[in-house]
Amino acid sequence: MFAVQTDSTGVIKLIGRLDAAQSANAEKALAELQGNVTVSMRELEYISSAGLGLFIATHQRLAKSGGTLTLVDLSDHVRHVFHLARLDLVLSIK
Amino acid sequence: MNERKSSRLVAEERLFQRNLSSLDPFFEMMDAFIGSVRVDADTAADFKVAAEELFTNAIRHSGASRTPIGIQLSREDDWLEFRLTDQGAEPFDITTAPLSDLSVPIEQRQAGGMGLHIVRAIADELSYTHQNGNGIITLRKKLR
Repeated sequence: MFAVQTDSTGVIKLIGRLDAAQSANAEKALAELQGNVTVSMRELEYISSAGLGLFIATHQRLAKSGGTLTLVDLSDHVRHVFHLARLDLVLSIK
Repeated sequence: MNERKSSRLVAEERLFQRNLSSLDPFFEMMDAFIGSVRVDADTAADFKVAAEELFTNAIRHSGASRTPIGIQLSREDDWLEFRLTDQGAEPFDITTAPLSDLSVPIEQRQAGGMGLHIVRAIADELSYTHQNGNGIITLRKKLR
C-alpha cells in the first residue's frame, strides 16, 4: 500500500511502501508541487532507489524556480537508505 | 569430537512474471520468509531493499522480455540468502559492473544508478554466475 496525502498545513505525507511499482504514483504527486515543499515521511515504511530518484528530480525542479524541498520525520530505515545513496549529504533532511 | 550441524531453512522457490506488477507477490514472499525466521528489523529491512533492487534490475535490464524470474530465499545458521535466477538473460556481472558517481553535486545527480550502490553496501557476500543461458545472482546477508 502506498498513498500521498496533503495535510491542512500544506505538508505532503507519504504513507506505506514506496517501491519501484509505486514510484509512478509518487512522481505524479510530486510533479504538481511548487515553491517551498515539505514532505513528511513519518508514515513511510519503506523506500528503495526508485523512490530516492524522485527526490533528486523534485529537488532539481524546485531549485530551478527558487523553491526548496525539505524531507522530515524519516524512520531509521528510510534515513539509512538515503544514507546508502549519499543523499543525506545533499538533500535537506530534518 | 563435536560435529557442528547447520540449520537450513529453504523457502519454496517461486517464479515471477517479468513486470512491476510482480512486486506485490514478491514482497508477500519476502515478508512471509522474514516472518518465518528470526531476523532483526534493521537486517530485514536492508535485505528487502537489496532484494527489490536486484529484482527490479532484472525486470528492467536483463533483455529477456518474456521469461520468468526465479527467486529462492533461505537462511542457514547466521546467514540469509537471496538467489535470483534470471532465465534467458544476457550476461551482466553485477559484482563488477561500474558504479555511478554519487559524489557529484545534487544539481548533476542522475535519478538512477543508486540501486547497485545500495546492493553492494547491504550485501555481505554477492556473487554472479551465468550458466546455461541463466544469470544467477546470490546475495548473502550476515545476521547481527
